[in-house]
Formats: sequence, C-alpha cells, structure tokens
Amino acid sequence: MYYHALSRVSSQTPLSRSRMLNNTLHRLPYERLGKPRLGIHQPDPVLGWRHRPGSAAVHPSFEFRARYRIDAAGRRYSGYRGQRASIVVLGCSWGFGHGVDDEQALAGLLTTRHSAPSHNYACMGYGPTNALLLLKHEIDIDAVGEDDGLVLYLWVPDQLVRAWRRESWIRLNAWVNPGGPSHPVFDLVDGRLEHRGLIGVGEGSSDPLLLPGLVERMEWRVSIEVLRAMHQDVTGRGRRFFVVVPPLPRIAAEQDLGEAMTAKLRHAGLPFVDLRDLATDTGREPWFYRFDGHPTHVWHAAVADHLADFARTRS
Amino acid sequence: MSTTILGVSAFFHDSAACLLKDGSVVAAAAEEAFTRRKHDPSFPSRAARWCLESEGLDWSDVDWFAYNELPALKRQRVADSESVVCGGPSVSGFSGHAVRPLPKTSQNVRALFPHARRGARVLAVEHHASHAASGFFPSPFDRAAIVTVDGVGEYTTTSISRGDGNTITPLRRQSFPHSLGLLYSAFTDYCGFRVNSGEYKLMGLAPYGTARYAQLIEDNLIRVLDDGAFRLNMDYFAFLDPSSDRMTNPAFEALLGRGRRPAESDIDDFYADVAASIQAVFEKAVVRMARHARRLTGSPNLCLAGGGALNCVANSKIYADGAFDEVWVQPAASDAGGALGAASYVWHQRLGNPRRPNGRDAMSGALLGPSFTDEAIRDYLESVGARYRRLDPEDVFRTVAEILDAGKIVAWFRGPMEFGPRALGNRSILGDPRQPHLQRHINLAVKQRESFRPFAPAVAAERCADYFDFEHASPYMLFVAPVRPDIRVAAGEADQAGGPLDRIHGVRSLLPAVTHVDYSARLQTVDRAVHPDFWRLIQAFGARTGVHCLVNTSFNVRGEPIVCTPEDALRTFLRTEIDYLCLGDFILDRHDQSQVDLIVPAITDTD
Repeated sequence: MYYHALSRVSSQTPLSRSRMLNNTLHRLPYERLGKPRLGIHQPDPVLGWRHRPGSAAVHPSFEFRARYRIDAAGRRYSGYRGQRASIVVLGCSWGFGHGVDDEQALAGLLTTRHSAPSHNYACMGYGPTNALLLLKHEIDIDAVGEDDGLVLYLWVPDQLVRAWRRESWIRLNAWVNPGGPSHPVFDLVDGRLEHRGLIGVGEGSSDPLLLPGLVERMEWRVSIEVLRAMHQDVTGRGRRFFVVVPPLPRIAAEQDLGEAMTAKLRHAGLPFVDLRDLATDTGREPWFYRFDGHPTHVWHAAVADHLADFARTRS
Repeated sequence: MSTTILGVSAFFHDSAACLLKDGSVVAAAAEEAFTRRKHDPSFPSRAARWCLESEGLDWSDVDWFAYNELPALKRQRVADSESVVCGGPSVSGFSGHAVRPLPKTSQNVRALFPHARRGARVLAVEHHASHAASGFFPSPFDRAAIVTVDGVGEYTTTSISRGDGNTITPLRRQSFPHSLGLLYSAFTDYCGFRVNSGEYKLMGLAPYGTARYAQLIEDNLIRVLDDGAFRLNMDYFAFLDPSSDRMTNPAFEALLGRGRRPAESDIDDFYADVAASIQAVFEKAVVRMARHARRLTGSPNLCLAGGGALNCVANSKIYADGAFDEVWVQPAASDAGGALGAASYVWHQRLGNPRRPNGRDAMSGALLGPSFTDEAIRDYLESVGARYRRLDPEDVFRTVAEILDAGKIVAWFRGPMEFGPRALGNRSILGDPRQPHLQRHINLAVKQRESFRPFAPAVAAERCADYFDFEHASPYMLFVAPVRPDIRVAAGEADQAGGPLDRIHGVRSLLPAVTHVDYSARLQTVDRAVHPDFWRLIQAFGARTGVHCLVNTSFNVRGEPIVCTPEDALRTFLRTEIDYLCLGDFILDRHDQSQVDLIVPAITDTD
C-alpha cells in the first residue's frame, strides 16, 4: 500500500529526481520492508520461478508506476495474441520491461509499432541458465516461432552473477522459495554443460581463499557455453538466434562488462547484435531510471527501432 | 578455551607467518607464496591472513602475537656497524662468551599488529632464540643440544643452547660481525651468485672443486678455534660498510688472486675450488661447534636451525663426526622458521606449557601451507578452459607412475603446500631417476636454469638402504647421503675433462639423475605415515620399475617461489616443457591446453 501511494505521487512529479527523497521515502522502506511483491511470479521446479499465467500487477516505484500483464502462456503481454511470432525475446527484467507498461516494452513496441509480432519470455531475475531451460523445457519453438523467425537473447551485465552459483546472488533471490532451492545451475565438466537442477544458498559458491576471481571466470565460461547451447538449440530447429548486447548505462564497470561480453561472443563465434553505441542518453529524456537503474521507455523505443531494422535486413 | 598464537618473521628475507592453536602448529606459510616475490621480506600480512582464515579465525581471535626479532637491539646493531666504519667504538665479536641478558621487547612491535584486539599480548623474541625454538620445540627430542647458524639476528650470528622439556637455556653465542653465515654469503657473492638466495648453488658447486684455498682462508679470513668459536678478519670484508653494495673488498679479491666472478659468466675450476674451500671451512666450524654443544649439554641429540642449517652437506658431516646419535633440522631453517619459533617460544617458554614428544616431530611433514579441495581445483580448471582427465583416486598413483616410467616429467600438486624452501612431494616436479639426461632436461627445459647439483632423490623410507648408505631419516631433504657402492658406475671420460659444467652430466650410478659428482645425493626419505600419498606414488613407481625412488625438485621456475595455488601451478606448467600436470586427482596433458584462457608471463629473472 505504501509503495502504491508513493508511486502515485512521486513518479508524476519532480520529486522523483531527488536523491534525498528517494533515500528517505523509497530506498530505506524498500530495504526494511522488502521489495513490493507483484504477485506475477510463482515457484517452478525447473526454472526456479516463472510468471503466473493470466496474472497482472501494477509495479509501484518512486520513479515509475508500470502495468504488467502476463498472458495465459506465462509471457509478458506484447499486444500480439497470435500463435507464431516472428520474434521471440528471452532475457531478464530489461527484456521483460521492468518499469514500463506492456505497450512500452521492447516486445510490445516490436509488435505494435514495427509490425513484428513478438513473444516476450523474458522474466525478472532470469539469467542465461533460466533462458536455456525455457528453450529446452517450456518453449515449443515450432509452435510459437515463425519459420525462419528470430530468437533474441537480451544479455545485460547484471546477468553475469546469475550464470553460475554465486552465493550472494542466490541469497538475494532466495525469496522465490524461502529455505529451499531456487536457482537453476549448469556446471562445466571437462568443458561440457551439466544440468544440476535447482540449488539453494548452501550450494552456492564464493571465491576460494586463494583463487580470487574464480566464480566470475566460471560465470563468463558458463554464460558463453549456455549461449552456445541456446544457439545450437534454436538453429537446430531452423530459427535464427542472436545475442543482443543493448545500450548500457554510462558507468565504467557496465561498459567494461559489455565490451568483455562482445569480445567473448566474437571469440566464441556466436552471432550477436551490438547496440551499445546507441546510448545517447542526454538526460532530458533519460534512458535509465536514475535510482532504479532499469531502462526507461526511451531506451525500449530506441532498441525496438534498431532490432526491427535488424530483423528486416536479416529476413 | 583454546590459546591462539600467531608468529611472524619479517623485514629481512623469507617473511612468514605461523599459527599455533593450543601449542599445535596448524598453519604456516611464507609470504612469498602469496606475493610471488621470492624471499619476500615484507611484513607477512597475506600469509598471516591465510593462516587465520584457514582456521576460520580473525585477527581479534589471536591471544598472542610473536615476532622473531628484537627491533630496538637490531637497530642498535645497525647503528653500531655504521659507527665502526666511521671510526667509532668497535663492536666486540669475542668468541664463546657467556650470554648476556638482552633488552626487553620494543614497544613498537605492537604496531605491527594494528588489528589485534585490546587484550591480546605481543612478544618480541630474540632472533636466535626464535631459531633455537624452531629447532627444538617441534623436534622429536625431550632433551637436546641446539645449534643455530645464520647471517645475523640482532647481534648473535651463531648460538648453542640446551633444550630440556619446555625450556631452552642459551649457553654460548657468537656475535656480529663474526658470522659463518655472512662469511658463506660473502663467498656466494664472490662466486657470482645472489646473496641470501644463491648459497645452495655454492654448496652444489663445491664437489666439483678441490679445497686448495681452505688453508688460505683459515690463515687470513677466519680463525676457527677447537670449540667452533671463530673470528673473521674484517680487513677483507665490506658488509660493515653501508656505502658498499658488496660483501667483500678489494683485499679479499687480491688474497684469492682473482676478481669476483660476474653473474652469468662461465664457471671455471678456480671458482669451483673456491667453493670447495669455503664449504670445507664452513663444515669444519660447524662440526667443531656441534662437538662443543655435545660437551656443554651432554645430550646425544642435536637440533639445528638458522639459514646455515640448510647446508645439508655440513649437516651430514655432523652425523659422520659421530658426536650425536640423532640430528633433527628444522625444515624451514631460515628466517621463515623464525615465525614458528617465536610462536612456539611463547607457548612453551613464556607460558610454560609442557611438550610431549612422541618419537615424531611436530611439523606434520612440513605440510602446513595452503591446500585446495578437488572441487576447487575442478572449478578453477573449468574457469580457465583447461582440458583435464579426472582420475579415480586409486588410479592416480598408477597412472602417474606409468607416465614417469615412460620418461615423462610430471608436475605433482597435491595436498598442503610445504613450509620451508624444499618441495617435499606436494609441490614437486617429478621424474625417473634412471634417466641419464633428465637432470639436463629439467634444468634447461623446465626450470630454465643450469645447476651444479643433480636433483634430489625421494625414496620410500623403508627402501632407503637399497640405494644409499644412510641409517637415519631425512624427511626434509636436509642431509646428503652417499650412493651405495654397488649401484655406482665408474667415472667416465666426461668426469675427467673440462670445467665443472662439462662434468655435470656424467653417469655415476644406476640413478644418474640424482647422483652428484662426488657420489652423494641430497636425500629425502618418505615416511608412509607422514606423507602417505607421496609414498604411494613412489610405491607405484617401484612396483612398476623396481626402483622405489623418484627425482623430486621444487615446482617452480627460475627466480620464482614454489607454486602455491592451482593457478600458479597451471601458469608454471604452461610456460615450461613439463609433460603432465597432476592437480589432486586431475591430470592435464600439456598438448591439450591450447584453449586455456590464462595470461602466462615470460620468465624474466636473471639469477
């Protein structure tokens, strides 16, 4: 109730640009009370969590007030009600459209503004392992994707920590299934992916005492191998697969991770779309929410424009 | 409520940390293992942190901090040295004087431990008392004579003490500048090797020469008395002169008739003879000191510590002299061991806790350093894209024995890292001792250096007598032993002609890779109870070949410390021509590693 009340006032006013007010009215309660439960997720024995089919929510925030609808198949509603889409979007909250309404999100814009019917399977908190499992166990690509359609995996730096067993991430996300396993894991065994099912906090990893950086290196390797597996899975079914590295905030760490990912994708020979140079955030119409950090509708529009062009030239 | 003691040694060379819990040594490591800087002298903050974290402890959990030196006294000695050069009052280095009480701990030692909790105690322990404690308290003896030999601590350079139960009583000491260690280092420098690092090379060079300058040295440079006391003639040495970066002066070179050998230049017979001569003088002084220690203490047991105790040839001369029935040498004999000594000094001598020797030493085979689970090793290998095979634990030994029998070189990384300068079978490069060319191959293609000594043999303790005339244990590679006459081979032509480097590769026994030019070997006896995995590997090799012995040399390259982590190991593996790397139960073939994503720097050290 508190968040809803706050979002009705703050997100419509200049208040949302005040760091002090954000800290006082939003961040501190957020840390004390926990993040608002949207009611659009449910536990899942394979994926850890998934969208609750047919659910809807208003996401209240100090900076925005966004409406989310989940269709009967568990996808973010994109405005496309048909069966087979020309574009299938996979990814995390960025692809899902955290902080923007259904029609303002990437898949919604592709569908409505660019006449590229899209299905949005992205889900908050997902990493590449969730996406691979979706492809393998949930998505019948022949049924939902047009022949020669595109499957786009939207990769962002936040997903790196979700790619393997990082204990701090599993702990942060433990609300999904308190006390139980919630995080799907693939290990590498002699360079090959092995699915370990869901794990809980106790099976998480942090760097061994004298091997700093081990977990991050594993996250990179698992990320690439998972993306490779997705690529093989999709192309094996006659569709085209691309990793999308979208515009990222002008923060050195984020930019460095984006650079590293494109280099690794290139090295691995995986097809990708590099949209990082699109970032022309002038501050007047911000591309990212100042405190929340997620992309705004401006970012979604720019990315949708380019991906629509990309899809056309590739068809 | 347990008592936790953290000992450290620092600020000269081989800094280290050691953790004692209720008197048991639970962790010990040199700082160089973590910083990758050989002989790192800096405060061992990383080693200390590892010691604590490996036991789930924090600085605030430590009850006592022990430091292996009295800083105020050391500063005074340095100032005194400078005043000598400037014409001030002379430092008396009289021989064999009775021990004077030392000043109390400098208060600023506490500042070394800023994270200590308020109630924690700090004790600075005199340098040679730390060495003596490292020699006696972990030893298997209830009573023993203790001899320490190094360059210099505060003032003391050598000492004799009596160890009895939980008490060490100093008996005699020799003071700076009269130092056997500094004398040996001066010759190390003169022969073109690095001081505090190249002394073992000088020792290895000695058997190629004749001690023709020994009398000259005794007549002019050092006078050795019957009780092992000695005096240096400072007219020939420059280590008191702060303006000099040499240990000797022109008079020294004039006496020997030739200048200092430039580093990396060819070594001829002259320098081999000089090495043989100073080694002979060093042995003479140490043996006499040991005899005197026997007379003073009456004990048939001797404990040795200090950097001079790494001279395994001299240690063996003590055995051969017969004054002692048993000799035990602290495996981390140099300053690193001072951390362990200072900590055990606190536990036994300061706090009065009893010792309970049970016939074995308390060093756990010196396997006191960092170790890694198979899961961590696997994750690490996967994280860098290494290609490996995971072997069944029972198959590891058989598989590696097969590889060694095929003449391949294996880097063997298993269990806790050794504490001390020797790799004892947990961070080792291994080979087949029957291979005549193995020494040269390992030296040039793996360790990327030339060396005068063949590599050490690691032999199953119960099979030692099959190959060596040695009746004692040598678990820490700190004694040399003669190869049995029945497995020796008559000297070939290569042994008769050319300089020292030409004679290195002569075949002198059925174990040519471990037999020195004088038919000695720097022996490691491997005890099944102390070092079961390494023993099993030797057994597997023996079952296959009939030779229960392996070549064992430290897993490092020139100028670098022994590897500590799987990352160090993989990096070293990739920059050398080692054929296989065995990390725990994982084995890597070097030909399969083209995809490894790891920066492998070039080897740049010039020493």
